[in-house]
Amino acid sequence: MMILSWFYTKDLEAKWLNVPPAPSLERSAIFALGDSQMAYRFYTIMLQNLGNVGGEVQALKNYNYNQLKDWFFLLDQLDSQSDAVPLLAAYYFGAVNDPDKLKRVIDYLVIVGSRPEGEKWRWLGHAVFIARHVIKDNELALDLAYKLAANKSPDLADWAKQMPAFILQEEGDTKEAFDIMMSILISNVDTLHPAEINFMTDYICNTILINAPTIEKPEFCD
Amino acid sequence: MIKHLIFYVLTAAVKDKIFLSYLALVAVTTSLSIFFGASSVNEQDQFAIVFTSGSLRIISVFTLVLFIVFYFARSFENRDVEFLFSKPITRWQYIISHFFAFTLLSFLIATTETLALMLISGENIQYSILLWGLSVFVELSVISAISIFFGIAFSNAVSATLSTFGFYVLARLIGDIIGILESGISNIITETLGKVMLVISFFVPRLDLMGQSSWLVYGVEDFNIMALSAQMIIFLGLILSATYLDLTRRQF
Repeated sequence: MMILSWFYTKDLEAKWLNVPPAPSLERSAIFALGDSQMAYRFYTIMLQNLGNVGGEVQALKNYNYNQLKDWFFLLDQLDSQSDAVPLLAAYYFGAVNDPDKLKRVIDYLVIVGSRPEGEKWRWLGHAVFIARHVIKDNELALDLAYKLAANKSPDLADWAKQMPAFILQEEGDTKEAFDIMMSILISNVDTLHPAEINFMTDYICNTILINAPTIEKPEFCD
Repeated sequence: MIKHLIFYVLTAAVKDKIFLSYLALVAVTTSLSIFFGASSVNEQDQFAIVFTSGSLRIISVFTLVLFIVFYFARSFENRDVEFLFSKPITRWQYIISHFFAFTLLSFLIATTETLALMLISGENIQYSILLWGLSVFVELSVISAISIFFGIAFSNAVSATLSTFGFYVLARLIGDIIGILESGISNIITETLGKVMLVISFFVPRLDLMGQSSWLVYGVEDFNIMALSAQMIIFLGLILSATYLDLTRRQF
């Protein structure tokens, strides 16, 4: 009987059932006996190894990103301080080429990256990168770049404040790009690093103004 | 007499090789947790310490419950209890001395866990680890009292073990259960069950608030140790009194 049943079971293999639906916040820590941090760490490892089942590794394009987004937000509620899931979302799940899937990742990175604590703004910076260079949606990238520049973190990098100007310049809106760069330069000239000032003046004179004869050149461009 | 009984219980623990087995389990669990933590792409140290604390707490509860329940099962089978009650010892002394002995055992277990965590953690969160160890000690003391109650109430070791684990799981999940109840009740049956669970929650200690792994990562934030300690002391009084009542009604 065992041998007969073997003929039936020999072809049955472990199947990948795609990203499972995320539980509700109230039910999420039950398996960890109410320890939400344990649940967070366990689920993060699970997400990291999700597509590796039965000796087969799934491509990211096969993942259900709608379900994945639910997991991101659940894990964000379990632990909003950790950078483990934002890193997975940005650098691992963000490696897919499908714009629809990437927008799910961006939705999550925007929420995490808009927080003023620590250096969370870097995740919004990565969302701008995905929008601008992978999806190639400059309108979305500009919208995100404005959000990034408005972040209240005292550690916000200069390049993050300049991000809207870079995108506007690429879009051809040189006047707006010029105004933003000049505004940052004038209001922060006492605190900016000399190398940063050099970069900004060079960018204004040799990139923004090079094709904008109508804008009056500042003195440092002469 | 109490001193002798405590020594008697600790001797039983040594004879059952509890300490050696537990140390081996701690070494294996800690090593495996570090290994699994290292498989994460970032925050490996945080993963390792959370996995270690969570798994050490589970194995310490298993160790303690199994020892206590099987200790009582053996005591009743071998008629050690009847022998002890033929000596000048009251039932209350019998319960209290056993509770002290198991509390001492809980302290040793919690100390071992704390040392293991200190060994693998950074230096900036030592206070959190100490508080975590203290709260795990309180948690284990509560579990000891519950194990004594079920160990004495049930003659069958399997029933007593399952009942103790059931109560432990309930005490760890009562916060989540209350959260689910508050998140929305859909029909009359679940509404009734919800009310029953709410009444049950009056008598269940909030063990989920003790020894939280998040303390080991981010430090202790909102933790009212006084309120929780008061709840645990009241619960210990309740469960030890229930054990005493059960033992006085028992026919030998």
